[in-house]
Amino acid sequence: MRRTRCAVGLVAGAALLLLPGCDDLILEDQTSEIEATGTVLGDVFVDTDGSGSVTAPDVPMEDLGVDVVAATGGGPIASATTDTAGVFSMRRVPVGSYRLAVDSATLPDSLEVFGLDEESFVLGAGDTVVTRFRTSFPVRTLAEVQGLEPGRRVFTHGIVLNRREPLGDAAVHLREGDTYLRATSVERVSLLAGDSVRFQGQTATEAGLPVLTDVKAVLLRELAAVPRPVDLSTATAASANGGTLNAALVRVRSGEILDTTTVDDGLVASVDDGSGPVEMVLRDLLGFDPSLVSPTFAVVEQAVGLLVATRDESGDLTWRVLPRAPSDLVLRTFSLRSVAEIQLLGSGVDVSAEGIVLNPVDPAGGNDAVHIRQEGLNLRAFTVSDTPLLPGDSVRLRGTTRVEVGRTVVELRDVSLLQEQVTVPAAVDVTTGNAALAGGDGRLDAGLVRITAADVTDTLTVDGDFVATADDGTGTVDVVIRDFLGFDTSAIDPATSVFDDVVGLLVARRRLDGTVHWRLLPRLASDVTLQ
Amino acid sequence: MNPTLRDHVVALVLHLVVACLCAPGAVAGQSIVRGEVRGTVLTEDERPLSEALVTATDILTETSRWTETGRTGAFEISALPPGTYEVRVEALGYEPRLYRSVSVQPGKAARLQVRLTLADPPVEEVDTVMVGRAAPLRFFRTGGHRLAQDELDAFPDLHRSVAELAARSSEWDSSMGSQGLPGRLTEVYFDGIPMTPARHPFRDSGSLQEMGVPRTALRELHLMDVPVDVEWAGAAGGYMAADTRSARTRPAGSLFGSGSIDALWFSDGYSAPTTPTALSGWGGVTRDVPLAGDSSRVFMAVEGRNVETPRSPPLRGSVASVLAGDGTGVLGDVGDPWTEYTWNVSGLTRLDWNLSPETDVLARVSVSHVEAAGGRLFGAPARYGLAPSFLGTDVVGATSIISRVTSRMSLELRAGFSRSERSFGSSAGQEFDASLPPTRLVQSGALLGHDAGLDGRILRSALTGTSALHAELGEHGVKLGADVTLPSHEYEYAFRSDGEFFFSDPSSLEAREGGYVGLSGPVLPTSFSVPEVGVFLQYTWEPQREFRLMSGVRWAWEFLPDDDVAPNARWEELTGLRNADLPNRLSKFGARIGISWDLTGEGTTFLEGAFAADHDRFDPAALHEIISLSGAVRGRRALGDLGAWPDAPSGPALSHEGTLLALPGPDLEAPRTARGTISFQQILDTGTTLRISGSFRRTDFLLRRQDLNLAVGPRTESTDGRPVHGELVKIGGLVRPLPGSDRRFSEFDAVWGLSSDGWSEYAGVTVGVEHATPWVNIFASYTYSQTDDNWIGAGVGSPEARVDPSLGVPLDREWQVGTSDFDVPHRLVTGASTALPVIEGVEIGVFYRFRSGRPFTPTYATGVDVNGDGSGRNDPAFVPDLPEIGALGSEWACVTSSIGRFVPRNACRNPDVHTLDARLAAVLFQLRGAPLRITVEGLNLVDAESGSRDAALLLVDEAAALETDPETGTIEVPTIVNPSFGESLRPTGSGRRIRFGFRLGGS
Repeated sequence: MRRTRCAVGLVAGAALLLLPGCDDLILEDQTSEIEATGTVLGDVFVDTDGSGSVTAPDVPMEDLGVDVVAATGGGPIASATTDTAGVFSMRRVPVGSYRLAVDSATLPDSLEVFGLDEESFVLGAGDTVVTRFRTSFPVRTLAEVQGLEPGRRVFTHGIVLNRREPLGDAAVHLREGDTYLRATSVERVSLLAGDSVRFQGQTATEAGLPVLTDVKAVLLRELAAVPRPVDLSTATAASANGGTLNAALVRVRSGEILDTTTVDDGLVASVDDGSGPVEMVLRDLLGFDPSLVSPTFAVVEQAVGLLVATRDESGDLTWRVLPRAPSDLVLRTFSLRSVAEIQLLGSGVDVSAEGIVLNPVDPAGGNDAVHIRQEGLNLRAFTVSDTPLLPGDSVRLRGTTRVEVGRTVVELRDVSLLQEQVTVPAAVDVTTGNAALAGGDGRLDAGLVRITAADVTDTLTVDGDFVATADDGTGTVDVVIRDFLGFDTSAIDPATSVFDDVVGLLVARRRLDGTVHWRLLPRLASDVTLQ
Repeated sequence: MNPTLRDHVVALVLHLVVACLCAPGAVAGQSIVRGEVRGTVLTEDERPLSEALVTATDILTETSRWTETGRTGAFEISALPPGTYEVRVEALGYEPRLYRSVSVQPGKAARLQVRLTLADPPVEEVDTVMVGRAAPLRFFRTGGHRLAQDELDAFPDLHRSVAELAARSSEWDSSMGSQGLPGRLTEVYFDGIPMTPARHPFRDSGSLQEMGVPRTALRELHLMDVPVDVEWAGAAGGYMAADTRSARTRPAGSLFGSGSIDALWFSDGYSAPTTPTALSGWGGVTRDVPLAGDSSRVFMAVEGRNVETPRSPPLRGSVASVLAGDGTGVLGDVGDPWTEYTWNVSGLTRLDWNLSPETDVLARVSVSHVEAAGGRLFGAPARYGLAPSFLGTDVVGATSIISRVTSRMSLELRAGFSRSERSFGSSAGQEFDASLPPTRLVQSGALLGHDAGLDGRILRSALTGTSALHAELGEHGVKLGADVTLPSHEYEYAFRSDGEFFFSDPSSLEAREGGYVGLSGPVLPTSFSVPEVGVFLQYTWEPQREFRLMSGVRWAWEFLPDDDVAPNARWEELTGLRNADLPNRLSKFGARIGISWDLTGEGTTFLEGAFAADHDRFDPAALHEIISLSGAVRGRRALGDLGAWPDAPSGPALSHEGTLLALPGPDLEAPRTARGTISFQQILDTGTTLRISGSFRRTDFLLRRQDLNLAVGPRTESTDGRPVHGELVKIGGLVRPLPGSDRRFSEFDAVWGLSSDGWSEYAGVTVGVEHATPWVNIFASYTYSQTDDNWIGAGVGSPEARVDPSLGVPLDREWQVGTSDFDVPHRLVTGASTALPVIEGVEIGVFYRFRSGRPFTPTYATGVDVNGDGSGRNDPAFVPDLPEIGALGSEWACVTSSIGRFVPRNACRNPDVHTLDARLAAVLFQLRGAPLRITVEGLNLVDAESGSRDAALLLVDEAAALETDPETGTIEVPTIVNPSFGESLRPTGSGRRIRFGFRLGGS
């Protein structure tokens, strides 16, 4: 209408042409503007299980500020806040190429937004764009989790290394490549070693090392991979290889149980494979039998377990091995048996026996066998590696039985000195004929005996050892004077020499004809006395 | 909303009611191309003298028309071609009287009150009366100027173009712009028939200036600011009406020529050690061929010219030396001088045929061809021709019939055909244009290759026809008519069809690290028609000879090619805006009214006024843009590795490609101008004429453009408060947005909205004085004016310069409105021509012209886009408070007064321009009755330099990085002050030139 007036004004005269007001008319009406708008709707949910889609445990994201920004960046074009249902709505949004962005000030810590950056959209005239996106915790690798500050809630993935135990700290260890992470307080869910899982948990520290705690777990795939332990020495296990294998699943082999300590929830055994000890925690809840784990009667043949860090009283960091189940622990148990029982055993039985040492053992001096006496029965055991013993010492042997020349002997694993010089073992006086027969029926096998007044009837040197045949008239017995005794055998003449007194250990020997006889092995040079 | 038919009817009735408050009298002629001589013959005792013979003789063509007085002693000789006449009045028994210098002007009547004295036979004496002056008045009615035949050649000019004649007025400029509007809005008529040349979409050069009519064929030129007659239609700007010459009644002819050699060319602004060729010359021949005495005759003219202007090397020495070592081999001669040349040949043939005493027929054909470029005679073509290279060919045919149906009624029919073609840049076939794409080194302002917007071919063909019926009833006159224009346009043009490269400096060019903007795929030509029909009605009331009122209305309808625009469904789907929503018809209504009042009744004191409002035609270039950019053409932008240079990048540069679109704004209108003028003119007894006039103009509906696909809302702002739309990337001294980051819809590039929301206002006062004696004619005219508009970048040949820099609301609105690009506040023209009384045949003419420099806006360097809107030509400077700014001092107060804020639009101004031309002519001898005249012309004797200054106030600091405030996101563009600010960017002066010539025969 105003323009109509302007047209009439043109006719009426030039003055009317110059009416003020035409300027406004032009500027208001003549400019091209994109006035078209569209609507952007959507909802936001908290993806609590990290599934990427709405699932039962997910909840609406409330009070989240959502902005429409140009696809190429810049400030918000329109904004809205999600309601209690997680729904946001922006109407009369100018048309354009956009993407959605979240007002970070309204986004709780740890939560991140997924599915927005790459999802730009074109809003055309009258369009309604409906979108859904999620907030969730960031997905981090195990290595990244280790680098996060405590208190961050994240998702992570890995292979379960141990079954979650319902009691205790409900810890589960994860592996991803060469990286391991310990997770504690894992929610009640059935997890087995080898499962592929996604954990949502909060970063924390335990003994100063990163762990994930308050974990919600999602089983992605059962038995996706067999977790293989890392073979370590006990010393390396104790340091987790300098910390690099913290929370790893490791395996130690052939460790001696040096010591055991009973703690509240089980037994802590110090195991050493010779490289240095590592503590192994055998938790009751896992069903370990602490009685089997004795430094005396058992050694660790193989132990698989999780490395868990702890700080000792001085604050130093050390790692313990936590076997996950009794099956992780393979023990060799040496049962304490009487010599009488042992003498009845065949080969290959782990045994332990206690007795009084009959002979000095100086492995460096050439003697590596030890004979013990128990309640009148004797037992020969060898090979002693490094423990010097003296006659009269009370010792405990552990070893494996073996039958030699029809007699049961023990191949030693170790010898433990129980008490020094408990008594002086007395030799049993026997005739040479009885000595050759170990008392006639082998009763004195491995025993300590003495012969007296026996003629030397013959001598022989075999492999450096001097063998003199003695006969007191009851029959002959070979006296083997081993070279390392340092006895001057040149003085022994078969024609003239007479043993006045010989003390020695009876050791069976099979002749070429298959018969068995015992030889007398003096322990020391002083055990042999010539007339 | 357009005016309804009812509005028009009401307007017409009002118009007639106002006009019919009338009194007895006689109405003068209403033709726009013919004038009249009328008067009364009385005896000494004041009795009417009947049967007196009155003869009017055109002193140029020597043709005569006669009539006899009636019983009242009144006589009237109508439909006379404009010119200077001798009127002889004879009656038996009376002493004849001869009136000399009777000036006949179009649409006006020269009035004579004749008193004859009884004389006894034989009568041997003729009483001679000088009616006019020694020279015709330059001041044309209702503003503007009139250049009569003798003045057309009184002063020299370099190119002998029609446009140069316009600069003889203090209200016009040499690009034919007037009243603060550019020449492209000026309408030109030859013999009352419009001649609209093909025009470059963004440049005035090479269109109007080179229009194809030989100068020597012009008889009179009228420069009108406010035409009163409604037949003058179709211009938002000025009106130039030229009359061509008709032949003499006797065989005649002339041969003329003029030339200059290298040694006669001098210029202080030329800095090269060697001077390439500077030849110039023009020459031609005319021939008057009578076919059947007075009744039928033919005039023919052929004219040619060639002007060569040496140019300094296009690049500064340091830049040139670096680029000369480029391995491409295309930059080897950047340090060489070159020559700009223009040559033109044109011819005209005009037939005048008086079929009967009541019927005149005119038929005219003219042909013109023009070429302009660099280095035609200078060996290898200059690759870096900064001159607009173009070819132009005009063919014009026109005919008119004027028939006096009755003594009170006459009929005019005019029809014309024109074909105008212009080819620019590589479209013009110049080798150098094809060899190197437009490449800008932004830090130095250097341009390699031609300008990015130059290439194109435009063809306009038109049929025009006008018929007008004149009727007189006493003091009332009515003119009723209709006109039709059937123009066809062909365009092969797209801005940046060759692409445009931007590099920070020569080293960046060597490394091929810069920016690129171009097109993807060929630009298909468009062809469309925009017919226009109009009807007009004019009423003239002349109650007495001292007072005249003329008023008229005109309705016209312009039919736009709305069906030619292919709808872009995708854009409509996205925005709801339709690119094909072009109105099929623009309705135009115009009205005019003017008065002329001889205050004393003695023909010495005039008060004149005129007011008019009418519409121009809709810009066909905008129609082409809307048609051609409808979806097929894609814009491509790249940034970074431009290793393919000079080829378009195809490698790893960051790039974006999208559809280019242009769409009409709502309620599109053709430009409408309302204007008025009042003038007072006093002719003193001493032969001196004083004139003062004031003019006002307001033009609305000028097309402005905006990028509708600019990203919604600014992304951020820079530290100077400038909104930033794209993600800025800096490469050396070049800052541009990451391609695509400034787009609202990534599938589109620029989407130009062409809206008719531009306006321009002009107010001016002109004071003139003219003194004429038989041997000297002196004149001076000074115009003070002010032009404001919101027509951003209209004076720059790039659409990107026309995009609002969007400095932020409300600052952007305030900034937009300001000094116009075409504002030239001071203009002075003065000249003197004399025929020395002591030496017969010697003539001297001196012409001096002064004008203020054109305004400009201090900006960042061209190509730097700190507001990230995709345009590197619309970034005004925010003036920092730095010592370098203070050092600019009072010379650039426009800058120093704006410290701490954005410099206002067009705040600064180029230096004033002075030109001085002189001409000496002397008749040596007569050769077979024809005078042989020699001429010496001194052109541009003050060595005026019209080149623009370096408007880049700020450069981007190459060494520093873009800094983004992490808190606010505000971005800081490291800036330094351009040490070359205000220096001459590239000289464009023509230099001093002395030209010798001759003319044999003719005048």
